[in-house]
Amino acid sequence: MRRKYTIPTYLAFGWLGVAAFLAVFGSFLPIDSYQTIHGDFIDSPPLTAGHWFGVDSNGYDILSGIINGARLSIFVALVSVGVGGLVGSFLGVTAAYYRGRYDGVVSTFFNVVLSVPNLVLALALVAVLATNVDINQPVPTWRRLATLVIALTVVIVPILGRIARAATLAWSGREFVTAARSMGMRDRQIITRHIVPNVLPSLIAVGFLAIGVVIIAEASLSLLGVGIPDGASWGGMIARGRNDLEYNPHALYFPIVVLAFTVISTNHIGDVLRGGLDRREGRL
Amino acid sequence: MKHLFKGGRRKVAAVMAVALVASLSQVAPSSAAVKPTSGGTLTVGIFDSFPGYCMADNLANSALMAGRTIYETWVEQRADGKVVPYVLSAVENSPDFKSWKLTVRDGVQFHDGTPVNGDALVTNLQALRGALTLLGRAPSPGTAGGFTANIVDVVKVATNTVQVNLYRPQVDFLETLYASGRFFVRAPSQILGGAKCSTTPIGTGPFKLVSTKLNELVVAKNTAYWREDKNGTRLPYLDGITFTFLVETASRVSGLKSKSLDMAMFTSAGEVKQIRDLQQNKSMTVIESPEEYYPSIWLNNRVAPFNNKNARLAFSYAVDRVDYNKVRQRNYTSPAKSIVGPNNIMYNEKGFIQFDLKKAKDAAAAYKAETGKDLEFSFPYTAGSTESLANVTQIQKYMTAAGIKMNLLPLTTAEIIQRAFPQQFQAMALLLMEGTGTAFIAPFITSDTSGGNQTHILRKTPLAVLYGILNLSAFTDTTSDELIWQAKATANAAARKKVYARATELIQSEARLTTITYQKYALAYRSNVKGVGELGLTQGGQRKLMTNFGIDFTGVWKSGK
Amino acid sequence: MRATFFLQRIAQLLIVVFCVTFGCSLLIQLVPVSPAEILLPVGSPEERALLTAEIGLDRGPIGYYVKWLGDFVTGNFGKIYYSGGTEEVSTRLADAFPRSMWLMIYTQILALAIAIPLGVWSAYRVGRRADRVISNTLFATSSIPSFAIALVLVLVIGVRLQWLPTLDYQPYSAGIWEHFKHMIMPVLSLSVGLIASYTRLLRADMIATLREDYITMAASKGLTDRRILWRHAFRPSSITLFTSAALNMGGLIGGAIVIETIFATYGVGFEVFAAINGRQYIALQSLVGLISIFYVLFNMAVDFIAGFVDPRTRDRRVNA
Repeated sequence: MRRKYTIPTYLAFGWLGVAAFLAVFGSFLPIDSYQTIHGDFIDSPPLTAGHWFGVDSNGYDILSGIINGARLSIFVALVSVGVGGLVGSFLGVTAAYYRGRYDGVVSTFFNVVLSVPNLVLALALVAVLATNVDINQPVPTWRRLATLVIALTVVIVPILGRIARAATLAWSGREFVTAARSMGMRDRQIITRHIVPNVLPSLIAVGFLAIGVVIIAEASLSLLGVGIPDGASWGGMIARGRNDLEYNPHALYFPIVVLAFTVISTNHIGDVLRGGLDRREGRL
Repeated sequence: MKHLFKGGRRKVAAVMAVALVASLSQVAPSSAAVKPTSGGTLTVGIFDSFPGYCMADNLANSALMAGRTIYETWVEQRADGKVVPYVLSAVENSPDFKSWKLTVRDGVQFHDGTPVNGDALVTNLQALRGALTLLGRAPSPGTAGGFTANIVDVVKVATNTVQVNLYRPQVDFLETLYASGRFFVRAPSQILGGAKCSTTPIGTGPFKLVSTKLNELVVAKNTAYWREDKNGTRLPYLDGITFTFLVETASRVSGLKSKSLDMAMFTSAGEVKQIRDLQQNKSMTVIESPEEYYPSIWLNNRVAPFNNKNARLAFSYAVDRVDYNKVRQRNYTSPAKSIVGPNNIMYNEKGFIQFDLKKAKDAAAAYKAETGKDLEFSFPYTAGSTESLANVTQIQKYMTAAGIKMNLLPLTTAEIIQRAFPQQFQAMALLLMEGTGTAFIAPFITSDTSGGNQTHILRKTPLAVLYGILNLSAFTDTTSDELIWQAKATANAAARKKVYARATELIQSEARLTTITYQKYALAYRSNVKGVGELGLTQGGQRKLMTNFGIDFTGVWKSGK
Repeated sequence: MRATFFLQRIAQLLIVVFCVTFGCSLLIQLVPVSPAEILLPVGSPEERALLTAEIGLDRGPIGYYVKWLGDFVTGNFGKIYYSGGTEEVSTRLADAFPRSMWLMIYTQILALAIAIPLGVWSAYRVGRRADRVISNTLFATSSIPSFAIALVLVLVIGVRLQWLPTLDYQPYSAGIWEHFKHMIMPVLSLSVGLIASYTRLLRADMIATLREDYITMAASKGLTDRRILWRHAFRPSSITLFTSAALNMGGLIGGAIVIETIFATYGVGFEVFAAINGRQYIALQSLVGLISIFYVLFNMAVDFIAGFVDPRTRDRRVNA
């Protein structure tokens, strides 16, 4: 069942490579800071000299937004999916392996988180974690960013956790696990040697799917004022361009296109990595 | 369109064209001699939500327009700025302007059927100034308590006549009674009704409440309304109106274009592109308010760094108002040359700190020499609002150029309002001052709105905080205070203007607060909406066609379907 | 067996709702600014103390929670506080809840109605061109935030074509067509993202099911592909799909704030948002509590139905 890498796969890797490059080295490129307002170029269409992707109605350069936005969009997505995935899969795997009361607690926790709309969760977290008692003391960007990452991570945990749990349930019933146990192998060893290697492929595949979900979720949060501060993210750009659709659609379609490329690429790579291991994947 | 504003001659032409449009837009669009038809309903998109209808609930701009279909005011303002009786029938003042006799019009009744009389007037005024709150009979007066603090007492002298005594003489007391359209004629049953004051508005207006919530107000025709048109037809013409809060500008524009809305209101703050787009649309009429709204940058004179004059000067010098007006307002409005606009009696360019980068840097350096600290401050903006972020980013750019550090504080609107009135921010932008007179200006730039009255009813109570709460810059300047009170006591208009000018100059040269650009409002409606601005006032004359609180709906009608 | 299962579910419902609401009340205690300060910006200290006591915030986290819970279980969802008086939260809910309810139901129906055939088809044609086209199209559309889709719909269908109204909500009583007319665009914008994820879920499960022995056996008996797909493969493959749909109920009822604002549908999502912004904590807590109850109820119902649909899957099923 091993798939050969095809042209779309190379394209997907290529695009993600570009995005990763922008995320890491974007700030070293000879591009204006995203915060610069170009007063003389407001509403410029794409292909204007010096502003190749155009300028939005507030005077922000769109190319610079795409390049600078890559950093935070990708950072937020990777961290929340990474941390959320680690925590979620740890909980899911152990819950399914040990079962019993512990499983009940973990499952309840997943349900609790899933039953609170994530926008509510994010808004509440910002009100609590990113508000200073001395109002004139600005909340540092890292704290707002951390709050946002926490809000998104908390959403990811039960999603990936449930998949890990379901997959572990399926595998821990297999003969080789029973055999390992009867040979006196320790639980920890069984989990790391037999369960995790089998659960990992589907987790990775779903994790890739989740990256796109998180980037879009951040856009909605931006719109409600709890997204990435100063809006330097792809989602934030879409949120900001929303009133421009009729007048400056380019302010919207550039970030949408890069977002779409990224989501399609990650999903495609997720598919490739999953290979033949197409199985249940939870809410995504 | 943008190219028009480049180059000399064309620029002049453009400015003239804008001026012409502005002057034309103040003339009511006439629908010739078509006889109004009764019936039909309107759906109106607005950009403010409804916080409630009690004394302390400040209905803002477009929500005020909606509220004013239910409520009327004791007096009304004519297009020329003069305030004339409306629900009152007559007004008489003592020669020293310290005592005013107000007579209520006969035959007007509230939506609950009770008559409007002297008692109702007394209840309203006592509620506004907090007297009923102190007795535990009515909810908080809110900021109205500060507005009306010059009133010493309110006495009923006849069934329909009430005498108001003032502490300081006030030539413009009727403007205070008008409060830019905000001091409604509320039914005593609402004011004294306790738990329903904020949610059940009862007024005398052409429409009465059907239902209301945070994002919507539905009103229906008041069949017992007191006014009729010149043909003797009972007003209003419309059967009902629905006002919907649509925070997204795009929702209001597309609502109009898709005919889901009959009318929608816009502000020059961030919606210029949409206003200009609708002006191009042939099936739409767009009317604009005069540029009589003066958003201020309030520098907190009480706390560091702006308790230091050099810090305030540095800020004021650093802002390039012409550039800001171009970049953020698309030259739709004018850059400020005074803390108020040219139509206002306090307008004075003298002493206003204009953009001067070198002087800004000098002042910042002087601040550092004096205090040993670099000039740094924080500035709030509405989180999630693109426009708000871009506004503060633009100001931040000017500050950085002058070597001043400006931190941005993303906060929700509720948080900003809650922190603004206890004067907790170091600096903030907020539109409070408006109009041609000073009733809606002076309270924001004086330190004690009771005029120093030591026996005022709120003096010994916690509500005494209201005397200075409206002055967001939190400054105490007895000289400018006295000049303002002196001007308010001066009967001769030309002499009054001179005294005001001195107060303005003093406040401006101290850089207590500053203004960047002026603001205006626009209302767009579909061609089936008729009669906007055609119905005059009861005692002759016209209202302003368009204000921050929109239009008057009494004489509006709908043609066809 | 079934009775204990049922009891277990009820217990789980109670535990989830308890955790959500208690967590909510802990968060409220952590907010640095007292709600009374915000609700009464120019109130006296006595007034604020009175209000704090009425809300129950002077009793500490546990006392506050107990007071709220006592009111909540007796159907008193608390009040929204104004400068002059109060309004019952239940009044607001009575208006807002049907709006969100219909929005959620239609969105789910539409998303499932499109995702099921697409998912089945792309599993059937797995790896072929049809499968790839469907997958990539769905990913492309799912990478556009729902509010952007909403704005495009408004511009094209509402403004250019003038087919549908762009604002407002109409109840059934205003006429069925009126009701639907106002629902179509919000429902479309919300369902686009769901269609992609539902299709994907169903496709994955279908692929796994189609490899099972009994499918091969059915095929060897000469049954048509269509019959195998729908009669034999679809039902056992649909469990994760419906479980996942149930998981989205909470988010759709309370989390569609942006769409509700754009189309002026103003349902529960907007009420939640307004309660947070206006520091109406009692209202917020009751709303979040109700949303979590609905979430758990929907999940129980789906579980129950799933048990009837395919008893074999009960063990394999992911926990809900």
